[in-house]
Amino acid sequence: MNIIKRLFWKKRYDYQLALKEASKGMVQVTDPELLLKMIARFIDLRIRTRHTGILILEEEKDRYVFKASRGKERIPLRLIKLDRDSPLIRWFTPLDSVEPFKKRNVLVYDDLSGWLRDASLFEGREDLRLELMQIKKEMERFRAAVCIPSFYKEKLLGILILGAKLSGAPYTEEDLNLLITLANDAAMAVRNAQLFEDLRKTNIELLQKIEDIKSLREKERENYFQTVLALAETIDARDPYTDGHLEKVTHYGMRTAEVLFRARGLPMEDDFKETLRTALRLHDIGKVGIPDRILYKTGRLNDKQWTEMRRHPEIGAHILEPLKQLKKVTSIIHHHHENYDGSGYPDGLKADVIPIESRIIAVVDAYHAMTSKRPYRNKLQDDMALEELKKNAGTQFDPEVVDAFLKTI
Amino acid sequence: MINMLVVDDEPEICDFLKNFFTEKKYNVQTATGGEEALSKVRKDKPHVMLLDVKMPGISGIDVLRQVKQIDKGIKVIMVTVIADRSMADLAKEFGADDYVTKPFSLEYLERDVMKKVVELLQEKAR
Repeated sequence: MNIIKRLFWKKRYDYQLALKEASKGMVQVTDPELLLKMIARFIDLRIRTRHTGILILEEEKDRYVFKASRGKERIPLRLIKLDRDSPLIRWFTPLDSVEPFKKRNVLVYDDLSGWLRDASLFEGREDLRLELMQIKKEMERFRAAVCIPSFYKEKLLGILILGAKLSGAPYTEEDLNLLITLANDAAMAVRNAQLFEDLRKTNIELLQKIEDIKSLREKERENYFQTVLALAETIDARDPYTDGHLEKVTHYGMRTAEVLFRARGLPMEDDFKETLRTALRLHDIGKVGIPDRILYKTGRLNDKQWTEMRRHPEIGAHILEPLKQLKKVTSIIHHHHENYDGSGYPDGLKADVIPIESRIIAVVDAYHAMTSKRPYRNKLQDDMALEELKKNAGTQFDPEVVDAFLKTI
Repeated sequence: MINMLVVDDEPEICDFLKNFFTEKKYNVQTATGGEEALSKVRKDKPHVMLLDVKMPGISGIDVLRQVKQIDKGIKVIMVTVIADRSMADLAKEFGADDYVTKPFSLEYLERDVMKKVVELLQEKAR
Protein backbone atom coordinates (compact mmCIF):
# COMPACT_ATOMS: atom_id res chain seq x y z
CA MET A 1 0.00 0.00 0.00
CA ASN A 2 1.50 3.27 -1.11
CA ILE A 3 0.39 5.25 1.90
CA ILE A 4 1.92 2.74 4.31
CA LYS A 5 5.25 2.68 2.48
CA ARG A 6 5.50 6.44 2.37
CA LEU A 7 4.79 6.73 6.06
CA PHE A 8 7.33 4.08 6.94
CA TRP A 9 10.20 5.87 5.27
CA LYS A 10 9.34 9.32 6.53
CA LYS A 11 11.99 10.75 8.83
CA ARG A 12 9.63 12.84 10.95
CA TYR A 13 7.13 11.00 13.05
CA ASP A 14 4.06 13.10 12.52
CA TYR A 15 1.13 11.62 14.34
CA GLN A 16 -1.57 13.88 13.03
CA LEU A 17 -0.57 13.27 9.46
CA ALA A 18 -0.17 9.55 10.04
CA LEU A 19 -3.63 9.37 11.47
CA LYS A 20 -5.19 11.42 8.73
CA GLU A 21 -3.63 9.32 6.02
CA ALA A 22 -4.53 6.07 7.71
CA SER A 23 -8.15 7.16 8.14
CA LYS A 24 -8.40 8.26 4.54
CA GLY A 25 -7.19 4.91 3.34
CA MET A 26 -9.46 3.03 5.72
CA VAL A 27 -12.68 4.74 4.76
CA GLN A 28 -12.32 3.64 1.16
CA VAL A 29 -12.01 -0.06 1.89
CA THR A 30 -15.31 -1.93 1.91
CA ASP A 31 -14.11 -5.42 2.83
CA PRO A 32 -14.00 -5.59 6.66
CA GLU A 33 -11.33 -8.31 6.82
CA LEU A 34 -9.04 -6.50 4.42
CA LEU A 35 -9.51 -3.34 6.43
CA LEU A 36 -8.42 -5.06 9.62
CA LYS A 37 -5.36 -6.49 7.94
CA MET A 38 -4.47 -3.01 6.77
CA ILE A 39 -4.82 -1.61 10.25
CA ALA A 40 -2.71 -4.36 11.78
CA ARG A 41 -0.06 -3.78 9.15
CA PHE A 42 -0.10 -0.05 9.75
CA ILE A 43 0.40 -0.50 13.47
CA ASP A 44 3.07 -3.14 12.94
CA LEU A 45 5.10 -0.88 10.66
CA ARG A 46 4.59 2.23 12.74
CA ILE A 47 5.24 0.90 16.21
CA ARG A 48 7.35 -2.25 15.54
CA THR A 49 5.86 -4.70 17.98
CA ARG A 50 6.63 -8.36 18.66
CA HIS A 51 3.07 -9.11 17.65
CA THR A 52 -0.02 -7.16 16.67
CA GLY A 53 -3.40 -8.79 16.66
CA ILE A 54 -6.96 -7.63 16.27
CA LEU A 55 -9.75 -9.53 18.01
CA ILE A 56 -13.18 -9.00 16.51
CA LEU A 57 -16.59 -9.86 17.88
CA GLU A 58 -18.41 -12.80 16.31
CA GLU A 59 -21.86 -11.94 17.49
CA GLU A 60 -23.62 -15.23 16.77
CA LYS A 61 -21.05 -17.17 18.77
CA ASP A 62 -20.62 -14.73 21.67
CA ARG A 63 -16.89 -14.66 21.22
CA TYR A 64 -13.99 -12.63 19.90
CA VAL A 65 -11.60 -14.14 17.37
CA PHE A 66 -8.45 -12.90 15.67
CA LYS A 67 -9.15 -11.48 12.27
CA ALA A 68 -5.69 -10.00 11.68
CA SER A 69 -2.31 -10.89 13.08
CA ARG A 70 1.21 -9.66 12.36
CA GLY A 71 4.69 -9.87 13.81
CA LYS A 72 7.32 -12.55 14.36
CA GLU A 73 5.52 -13.82 17.43
CA ARG A 74 2.07 -13.37 16.01
CA ILE A 75 -0.92 -15.30 17.24
CA PRO A 76 -2.16 -17.66 14.49
CA LEU A 77 -5.59 -16.91 13.08
CA ARG A 78 -8.44 -19.36 13.76
CA LEU A 79 -6.66 -20.77 16.77
CA ILE A 80 -7.57 -18.60 19.74
CA LYS A 81 -10.80 -17.04 20.94
CA LEU A 82 -11.92 -14.96 23.87
CA ASP A 83 -15.39 -15.63 25.21
CA ARG A 84 -17.69 -12.76 25.97
CA ASP A 85 -17.57 -13.55 29.67
CA SER A 86 -13.78 -13.61 29.95
CA PRO A 87 -12.33 -11.15 32.48
CA LEU A 88 -10.60 -9.05 29.81
CA ILE A 89 -13.78 -8.57 27.81
CA ARG A 90 -15.83 -7.85 30.89
CA TRP A 91 -13.36 -5.19 31.93
CA PHE A 92 -14.11 -3.24 28.79
CA THR A 93 -17.84 -3.73 28.97
CA PRO A 94 -18.81 -2.63 32.46
CA LEU A 95 -22.46 -2.38 33.37
CA ASP A 96 -21.91 -0.28 36.48
CA SER A 97 -20.36 3.12 37.18
CA VAL A 98 -16.80 3.99 36.31
CA GLU A 99 -14.26 3.17 39.01
CA PRO A 100 -10.92 4.86 39.56
CA PHE A 101 -8.90 2.19 37.76
CA LYS A 102 -11.32 1.62 34.93
CA LYS A 103 -9.95 3.73 32.16
CA ARG A 104 -11.96 2.01 29.54
CA ASN A 105 -9.87 2.92 26.60
CA VAL A 106 -6.57 1.19 27.34
CA LEU A 107 -4.92 -1.49 29.44
CA VAL A 108 -1.15 -1.42 29.81
CA TYR A 109 0.38 -4.51 31.37
CA ASP A 110 3.14 -2.63 33.15
CA ASP A 111 0.64 -0.22 34.71
CA LEU A 112 -1.56 -3.10 35.76
CA SER A 113 1.36 -4.88 37.41
CA GLY A 114 2.24 -1.62 39.17
CA TRP A 115 -1.26 -1.24 40.57
CA LEU A 116 -1.36 -4.77 41.85
CA ARG A 117 1.90 -4.36 43.72
CA ASP A 118 0.37 -1.52 45.76
CA ALA A 119 -1.84 -3.26 48.31
CA SER A 120 -3.07 0.03 49.74
CA LEU A 121 -4.99 0.76 46.54
CA PHE A 122 -7.28 -2.17 47.17
CA GLU A 123 -8.28 -1.59 50.74
CA GLY A 124 -11.78 -2.89 51.04
CA ARG A 125 -11.82 -3.71 47.33
CA GLU A 126 -10.62 -7.29 47.27
CA ASP A 127 -13.05 -8.08 44.44
CA LEU A 128 -11.43 -5.47 42.26
CA ARG A 129 -7.96 -6.78 43.08
CA LEU A 130 -8.99 -10.30 42.14
CA GLU A 131 -10.56 -9.09 38.92
CA LEU A 132 -7.37 -7.28 37.98
CA MET A 133 -5.31 -10.35 38.88
CA GLN A 134 -7.36 -12.38 36.43
CA ILE A 135 -6.94 -9.78 33.73
CA LYS A 136 -3.20 -9.68 34.32
CA LYS A 137 -3.09 -13.47 33.91
CA GLU A 138 -5.06 -13.20 30.71
CA MET A 139 -2.71 -10.59 29.33
CA GLU A 140 0.20 -12.85 30.23
CA ARG A 141 -1.34 -15.67 28.24
CA PHE A 142 -1.41 -13.40 25.23
CA ARG A 143 1.95 -11.85 26.08
CA ALA A 144 0.11 -8.59 25.66
CA ALA A 145 1.82 -5.36 26.59
CA VAL A 146 -1.15 -3.27 25.61
CA CYS A 147 -4.86 -3.94 25.05
CA ILE A 148 -6.92 -1.28 23.30
CA PRO A 149 -10.68 -1.72 23.04
CA SER A 150 -12.50 -0.79 19.88
CA PHE A 151 -15.94 0.62 20.49
CA TYR A 152 -18.75 1.46 18.14
CA LYS A 153 -21.24 3.49 20.10
CA GLU A 154 -21.41 1.52 23.33
CA LYS A 155 -20.61 -1.84 21.81
CA LEU A 156 -17.21 -3.52 22.11
CA LEU A 157 -16.56 -4.50 18.52
CA GLY A 158 -13.01 -5.63 19.04
CA ILE A 159 -9.69 -5.38 20.87
CA LEU A 160 -6.21 -4.49 19.68
CA ILE A 161 -3.67 -6.78 21.34
CA LEU A 162 -0.08 -5.59 21.07
CA GLY A 163 3.01 -7.33 22.28
CA ALA A 164 6.04 -5.47 23.64
CA LYS A 165 7.95 -3.24 21.28
CA LEU A 166 10.87 -4.93 19.58
CA SER A 167 13.05 -2.16 20.92
CA GLY A 168 11.97 -2.96 24.47
CA ALA A 169 10.97 0.65 25.00
CA PRO A 170 7.72 1.31 26.83
CA TYR A 171 4.62 2.60 25.09
CA THR A 172 4.46 6.36 25.23
CA GLU A 173 1.42 8.53 25.80
CA GLU A 174 1.62 9.46 22.14
CA ASP A 175 1.68 5.81 21.08
CA LEU A 176 -1.38 5.10 23.16
CA ASN A 177 -3.29 8.11 21.87
CA LEU A 178 -2.58 7.10 18.32
CA LEU A 179 -3.69 3.55 19.04
CA ILE A 180 -6.89 4.63 20.79
CA THR A 181 -7.89 6.90 17.94
CA LEU A 182 -6.99 4.22 15.43
CA ALA A 183 -9.00 1.63 17.31
CA ASN A 184 -12.14 3.73 17.27
CA ASP A 185 -11.74 4.79 13.68
CA ALA A 186 -11.26 1.12 12.90
CA ALA A 187 -14.50 0.23 14.69
CA MET A 188 -16.39 2.81 12.70
CA ALA A 189 -14.83 1.79 9.44
CA VAL A 190 -15.39 -1.91 10.13
CA ARG A 191 -18.99 -1.19 11.07
CA ASN A 192 -19.46 0.78 7.86
CA ALA A 193 -17.88 -1.97 5.85
CA GLN A 194 -20.18 -4.49 7.52
CA LEU A 195 -23.21 -2.32 6.85
CA PHE A 196 -22.10 -1.93 3.28
CA GLU A 197 -21.73 -5.66 2.97
CA ASP A 198 -25.17 -6.21 4.54
CA LEU A 199 -26.61 -3.70 2.12
CA ARG A 200 -25.00 -5.46 -0.78
CA LYS A 201 -26.37 -8.80 0.38
CA THR A 202 -29.83 -7.29 0.87
CA ASN A 203 -29.70 -5.91 -2.65
CA ILE A 204 -28.82 -9.30 -4.02
CA GLU A 205 -31.67 -10.82 -2.02
CA LEU A 206 -34.06 -8.20 -3.32
CA LEU A 207 -33.00 -8.77 -6.89
CA GLN A 208 -33.53 -12.48 -6.37
CA LYS A 209 -36.99 -11.82 -4.91
CA ILE A 210 -37.85 -9.72 -7.93
CA GLU A 211 -36.81 -12.57 -10.21
CA ASP A 212 -38.92 -14.96 -8.15
CA ILE A 213 -41.93 -12.66 -8.42
CA LYS A 214 -41.41 -12.34 -12.14
CA SER A 215 -41.36 -16.08 -12.67
CA LEU A 216 -44.39 -16.45 -10.41
CA ARG A 217 -46.24 -13.91 -12.51
CA GLU A 218 -45.16 -15.83 -15.57
CA LYS A 219 -46.70 -18.98 -14.11
CA GLU A 220 -49.87 -17.14 -13.19
CA ARG A 221 -50.18 -15.83 -16.70
CA GLU A 222 -49.64 -19.29 -18.09
CA ASN A 223 -52.39 -20.65 -15.81
CA TYR A 224 -54.70 -17.86 -16.82
CA PHE A 225 -54.00 -18.55 -20.46
CA GLN A 226 -54.70 -22.24 -20.09
CA THR A 227 -57.93 -21.38 -18.31
CA VAL A 228 -58.96 -19.10 -21.12
CA LEU A 229 -58.25 -21.80 -23.68
CA ALA A 230 -60.28 -24.28 -21.68
CA LEU A 231 -63.07 -21.73 -21.52
CA ALA A 232 -63.03 -21.39 -25.29
CA GLU A 233 -63.38 -25.15 -25.66
CA THR A 234 -66.23 -25.15 -23.17
CA ILE A 235 -68.13 -22.47 -25.06
CA ASP A 236 -67.72 -24.45 -28.21
CA ALA A 237 -68.82 -27.68 -26.59
CA ARG A 238 -71.78 -26.08 -24.89
CA ASP A 239 -73.35 -24.72 -27.99
CA PRO A 240 -75.45 -27.47 -29.60
CA TYR A 241 -75.45 -25.64 -32.86
CA THR A 242 -71.79 -25.18 -33.42
CA ASP A 243 -70.89 -28.75 -34.28
CA GLY A 244 -67.12 -28.41 -33.89
CA HIS A 245 -67.26 -24.84 -35.18
CA LEU A 246 -64.08 -23.84 -33.42
CA GLU A 247 -62.01 -26.63 -34.89
CA LYS A 248 -63.22 -25.97 -38.41
CA VAL A 249 -62.82 -22.24 -38.14
CA THR A 250 -59.28 -22.60 -36.87
CA HIS A 251 -58.34 -25.05 -39.60
CA TYR A 252 -59.81 -23.04 -42.46
CA GLY A 253 -58.53 -19.82 -41.02
CA MET A 254 -54.93 -21.08 -41.09
CA ARG A 255 -55.35 -22.49 -44.59
CA THR A 256 -56.82 -19.23 -45.85
CA ALA A 257 -53.90 -17.31 -44.44
CA GLU A 258 -51.44 -19.64 -46.19
CA VAL A 259 -53.18 -19.13 -49.52
CA LEU A 260 -53.37 -15.39 -49.00
CA PHE A 261 -49.70 -14.99 -48.19
CA ARG A 262 -48.67 -17.24 -51.06
CA ALA A 263 -50.74 -15.14 -53.41
CA ARG A 264 -49.03 -12.01 -52.19
CA GLY A 265 -45.64 -13.71 -52.41
CA LEU A 266 -44.94 -13.13 -48.73
CA PRO A 267 -43.63 -15.61 -46.14
CA MET A 268 -45.82 -16.36 -43.14
CA GLU A 269 -43.75 -15.77 -40.00
CA ASP A 270 -44.01 -18.15 -37.07
CA ASP A 271 -45.11 -15.30 -34.82
CA PHE A 272 -47.93 -14.53 -37.17
CA LYS A 273 -49.03 -18.17 -37.29
CA GLU A 274 -49.05 -18.39 -33.50
CA THR A 275 -51.02 -15.21 -33.15
CA LEU A 276 -53.55 -16.18 -35.80
CA ARG A 277 -54.06 -19.66 -34.43
CA THR A 278 -54.59 -18.34 -30.91
CA ALA A 279 -56.95 -15.66 -32.15
CA LEU A 280 -58.97 -18.22 -34.10
CA ARG A 281 -59.34 -20.43 -31.06
CA LEU A 282 -60.31 -17.58 -28.80
CA HIS A 283 -62.30 -15.31 -31.10
CA ASP A 284 -65.69 -16.05 -29.57
CA ILE A 285 -64.61 -16.21 -25.98
CA GLY A 286 -66.55 -13.05 -25.35
CA LYS A 287 -69.74 -15.04 -25.77
CA VAL A 288 -69.32 -16.30 -22.23
CA GLY A 289 -70.46 -12.83 -21.23
CA ILE A 290 -73.67 -13.01 -23.27
CA PRO A 291 -76.74 -14.40 -21.49
CA ASP A 292 -77.97 -17.78 -22.76
CA ARG A 293 -81.44 -16.42 -23.52
CA ILE A 294 -79.85 -14.22 -26.16
CA LEU A 295 -77.26 -16.68 -27.41
CA TYR A 296 -79.77 -19.48 -27.91
CA LYS A 297 -82.86 -17.48 -28.77
CA THR A 298 -84.83 -19.29 -31.41
CA GLY A 299 -86.35 -16.22 -32.98
CA ARG A 300 -84.66 -13.14 -34.33
CA LEU A 301 -83.03 -10.81 -31.83
CA ASN A 302 -84.63 -7.48 -31.09
CA ASP A 303 -82.58 -4.29 -31.15
CA LYS A 304 -81.71 -4.37 -27.48
CA GLN A 305 -80.65 -8.00 -27.64
CA TRP A 306 -78.68 -7.39 -30.75
CA THR A 307 -76.82 -4.52 -29.10
CA GLU A 308 -75.92 -6.84 -26.29
CA MET A 309 -74.85 -9.61 -28.64
CA ARG A 310 -72.57 -7.24 -30.45
CA ARG A 311 -70.64 -6.70 -27.23
CA HIS A 312 -68.97 -10.08 -27.44
CA PRO A 313 -65.82 -8.91 -29.27
CA GLU A 314 -65.30 -6.25 -26.59
CA ILE A 315 -65.96 -8.74 -23.82
CA GLY A 316 -63.49 -11.13 -25.39
CA ALA A 317 -60.83 -8.45 -25.55
CA HIS A 318 -61.53 -7.58 -21.94
CA ILE A 319 -61.07 -11.18 -20.83
CA LEU A 320 -57.71 -11.36 -22.57
CA GLU A 321 -56.49 -7.98 -21.43
CA PRO A 322 -54.47 -9.30 -18.42
CA LEU A 323 -52.40 -11.49 -20.72
CA LYS A 324 -49.89 -8.89 -21.82
CA GLN A 325 -48.16 -11.31 -24.11
CA LEU A 326 -51.41 -11.63 -26.10
CA LYS A 327 -51.80 -7.96 -26.85
CA LYS A 328 -52.01 -8.58 -30.59
CA VAL A 329 -54.50 -11.41 -30.18
CA THR A 330 -56.64 -9.20 -27.99
CA SER A 331 -56.74 -6.54 -30.63
CA ILE A 332 -57.63 -9.07 -33.33
CA ILE A 333 -60.52 -10.46 -31.32
CA HIS A 334 -61.70 -7.00 -30.50
CA HIS A 335 -62.10 -6.32 -34.22
CA HIS A 336 -63.25 -9.64 -35.69
CA HIS A 337 -66.68 -8.21 -36.46
CA GLU A 338 -65.53 -5.09 -38.23
CA ASN A 339 -66.65 -4.77 -41.83
CA TYR A 340 -64.37 -4.02 -44.74
CA ASP A 341 -66.42 -0.96 -45.66
CA GLY A 342 -66.36 0.43 -42.14
CA SER A 343 -69.92 -0.51 -41.22
CA GLY A 344 -68.93 -3.08 -38.63
CA TYR A 345 -68.61 -3.05 -34.84
CA PRO A 346 -67.45 -2.02 -32.29
CA ASP A 347 -65.23 0.72 -33.80
CA GLY A 348 -66.28 0.95 -37.44
CA LEU A 349 -62.77 0.36 -38.71
CA LYS A 350 -62.29 0.24 -42.47
CA ALA A 351 -60.26 -1.82 -44.91
CA ASP A 352 -56.53 -2.16 -44.08
CA VAL A 353 -56.95 -0.52 -40.69
CA ILE A 354 -58.66 -3.73 -39.65
CA PRO A 355 -55.99 -6.28 -38.66
CA ILE A 356 -55.55 -8.85 -41.43
CA GLU A 357 -56.17 -11.63 -38.91
CA SER A 358 -59.52 -10.11 -38.01
CA ARG A 359 -60.46 -9.92 -41.68
CA ILE A 360 -59.60 -13.58 -42.08
CA ILE A 361 -61.62 -14.56 -39.03
CA ALA A 362 -64.57 -12.56 -40.30
CA VAL A 363 -64.76 -14.57 -43.53
CA VAL A 364 -64.16 -17.99 -42.06
CA ASP A 365 -66.42 -17.36 -39.11
CA ALA A 366 -69.25 -16.09 -41.32
CA TYR A 367 -69.03 -19.07 -43.67
CA HIS A 368 -69.23 -21.57 -40.86
CA ALA A 369 -71.97 -19.70 -39.12
CA MET A 370 -73.98 -19.81 -42.33
CA THR A 371 -73.37 -23.48 -42.93
CA SER A 372 -74.31 -24.48 -39.39
CA LYS A 373 -77.74 -24.90 -38.05
CA ARG A 374 -78.69 -21.92 -36.00
CA PRO A 375 -81.42 -21.65 -33.41
CA TYR A 376 -83.28 -19.28 -35.70
CA ARG A 377 -82.78 -20.96 -39.10
CA ASN A 378 -81.60 -24.09 -40.76
CA LYS A 379 -78.24 -24.26 -42.28
CA LEU A 380 -77.51 -22.93 -45.70
CA GLN A 381 -76.19 -25.12 -48.37
CA ASP A 382 -72.48 -24.83 -48.87
CA ASP A 383 -72.69 -23.25 -52.28
CA MET A 384 -75.27 -20.75 -51.13
CA ALA A 385 -73.00 -19.72 -48.32
CA LEU A 386 -70.14 -19.24 -50.75
CA GLU A 387 -72.40 -17.06 -52.86
CA GLU A 388 -73.15 -14.91 -49.86
CA LEU A 389 -69.46 -14.44 -49.24
CA LYS A 390 -68.85 -13.41 -52.84
CA LYS A 391 -71.83 -11.09 -52.74
CA ASN A 392 -70.47 -9.31 -49.67
CA ALA A 393 -66.86 -9.16 -50.75
CA GLY A 394 -65.86 -5.51 -50.65
CA THR A 395 -68.56 -4.52 -48.23
CA GLN A 396 -68.56 -6.86 -45.29
CA PHE A 397 -65.49 -8.82 -46.27
CA ASP A 398 -62.03 -8.15 -47.65
CA PRO A 399 -62.22 -9.35 -51.29
CA GLU A 400 -58.69 -10.75 -51.24
CA VAL A 401 -59.47 -12.82 -48.17
CA VAL A 402 -62.64 -14.14 -49.75
CA ASP A 403 -60.65 -15.18 -52.81
CA ALA A 404 -58.11 -16.98 -50.67
CA PHE A 405 -60.80 -18.71 -48.67
CA LEU A 406 -62.60 -19.93 -51.75
CA LYS A 407 -59.42 -21.67 -52.79
CA THR A 408 -59.31 -23.63 -49.55
CA ILE A 409 -62.73 -25.17 -49.91
CA MET B 1 9.75 -30.89 34.38
CA ILE B 2 6.82 -31.73 32.19
CA ASN B 3 7.50 -32.82 28.64
CA MET B 4 5.09 -31.80 25.97
CA LEU B 5 4.87 -32.59 22.28
CA VAL B 6 2.88 -30.28 20.00
CA VAL B 7 1.90 -31.77 16.66
CA ASP B 8 0.32 -29.56 14.00
CA ASP B 9 0.89 -29.26 10.27
CA GLU B 10 0.95 -25.44 10.56
CA PRO B 11 4.41 -24.41 11.86
CA GLU B 12 2.97 -21.10 13.04
CA ILE B 13 0.68 -22.94 15.44
CA CYS B 14 3.52 -25.15 16.67
CA ASP B 15 5.64 -22.08 17.38
CA PHE B 16 2.88 -20.25 19.17
CA LEU B 17 1.95 -23.18 21.40
CA LYS B 18 5.61 -23.93 22.10
CA ASN B 19 6.16 -20.35 23.27
CA PHE B 20 2.99 -20.43 25.29
CA PHE B 21 3.83 -23.57 27.22
CA THR B 22 7.55 -22.89 27.50
CA GLU B 23 6.64 -19.77 29.42
CA LYS B 24 4.64 -22.02 31.75
CA LYS B 25 7.86 -23.98 32.33
CA TYR B 26 7.02 -26.97 30.17
CA ASN B 27 9.67 -28.60 28.03
CA VAL B 28 8.11 -28.38 24.62
CA GLN B 29 8.94 -30.18 21.40
CA THR B 30 7.13 -29.77 18.12
CA ALA B 31 6.41 -31.83 15.01
CA THR B 32 4.66 -30.86 11.80
CA GLY B 33 3.86 -34.37 10.61
CA GLY B 34 2.88 -37.83 11.83
CA GLU B 35 6.20 -39.55 11.16
CA GLU B 36 8.21 -36.82 12.87
CA ALA B 37 5.80 -36.93 15.81
CA LEU B 38 6.13 -40.69 16.27
CA SER B 39 9.92 -40.63 16.14
CA LYS B 40 9.96 -37.88 18.75
CA VAL B 41 7.56 -39.85 20.92
CA ARG B 42 9.85 -42.86 20.81
CA LYS B 43 12.95 -40.76 21.49
CA ASP B 44 11.82 -38.63 24.41
CA LYS B 45 8.52 -39.84 25.80
CA PRO B 46 6.36 -36.78 26.37
CA HIS B 47 3.99 -36.65 29.30
CA VAL B 48 1.36 -34.84 27.32
CA MET B 49 0.64 -34.28 23.63
CA LEU B 50 -1.37 -31.76 21.68
CA LEU B 51 -2.26 -33.58 18.49
CA ASP B 52 -3.93 -32.03 15.42
CA VAL B 53 -6.60 -34.30 13.98
CA LYS B 54 -6.40 -33.20 10.39
CA MET B 55 -2.94 -33.51 8.91
CA PRO B 56 -1.70 -34.50 5.48
CA GLY B 57 0.00 -37.88 5.31
CA ILE B 58 -0.60 -40.00 8.41
CA SER B 59 -3.83 -38.85 10.04
CA GLY B 60 -4.02 -37.64 13.60
CA ILE B 61 -6.06 -40.71 14.53
CA ASP B 62 -3.36 -42.99 13.23
CA VAL B 63 -0.72 -41.17 15.21
CA LEU B 64 -2.93 -41.43 18.27
CA ARG B 65 -3.29 -45.17 17.94
CA GLN B 66 0.40 -45.69 17.50
CA VAL B 67 1.29 -43.41 20.39
CA LYS B 68 -1.02 -45.34 22.68
CA GLN B 69 0.64 -48.53 21.55
CA ILE B 70 4.05 -47.14 22.37
CA ASP B 71 2.92 -45.91 25.77
CA LYS B 72 -0.66 -45.88 26.98
CA GLY B 73 0.26 -43.48 29.72
CA ILE B 74 0.97 -40.54 27.41
CA LYS B 75 -1.88 -38.04 27.75
CA VAL B 76 -3.11 -37.10 24.30
CA ILE B 77 -5.33 -34.08 23.69
CA MET B 78 -6.68 -33.96 20.15
CA VAL B 79 -7.02 -30.56 18.52
CA THR B 80 -9.89 -30.36 16.05
CA VAL B 81 -11.85 -27.94 13.96
CA ILE B 82 -15.60 -27.80 14.59
CA ALA B 83 -16.35 -29.81 11.46
CA ASP B 84 -14.27 -32.71 12.77
CA ARG B 85 -16.40 -33.30 15.83
CA SER B 86 -17.39 -36.80 14.82
CA MET B 87 -13.71 -37.48 14.25
CA ALA B 88 -12.98 -36.24 17.72
CA ASP B 89 -15.53 -38.64 19.22
CA LEU B 90 -13.90 -41.41 17.24
CA ALA B 91 -10.55 -40.37 18.66
CA LYS B 92 -11.90 -40.91 22.15
CA GLU B 93 -12.67 -44.49 21.14
CA PHE B 94 -9.03 -44.88 20.21
CA GLY B 95 -7.88 -43.69 23.58
CA ALA B 96 -7.63 -39.91 23.25
CA ASP B 97 -7.76 -38.35 26.68
CA ASP B 98 -9.59 -35.22 25.56
CA TYR B 99 -10.10 -32.86 22.65
CA VAL B 100 -10.22 -29.10 22.16
CA THR B 101 -11.92 -27.39 19.25
CA LYS B 102 -10.34 -24.50 17.39
CA PRO B 103 -10.67 -21.68 18.12
CA PHE B 104 -10.21 -22.29 21.84
CA SER B 105 -9.60 -19.99 24.74
CA LEU B 106 -6.08 -20.00 26.10
CA GLU B 107 -7.38 -20.17 29.62
CA TYR B 108 -9.22 -23.38 28.78
CA LEU B 109 -6.21 -24.91 27.08
CA GLU B 110 -3.97 -24.07 29.99
CA ARG B 111 -6.40 -25.55 32.52
CA ASP B 112 -7.13 -28.62 30.45
CA VAL B 113 -3.49 -29.47 29.91
CA MET B 114 -2.78 -28.87 33.57
CA LYS B 115 -5.62 -31.20 34.49
CA LYS B 116 -4.20 -33.98 32.34
CA VAL B 117 -0.77 -33.55 33.89
CA VAL B 118 -2.26 -33.75 37.37
CA GLU B 119 -4.16 -36.90 36.43
CA LEU B 120 -0.97 -38.39 35.09
CA LEU B 121 0.95 -37.67 38.27
CA GLN B 122 -1.84 -39.15 40.34
CA GLU B 123 -1.86 -42.29 38.23
CA LYS B 124 1.89 -42.62 38.55
CA ALA B 125 1.66 -42.19 42.30
CA ARG B 126 -0.62 -45.20 42.65
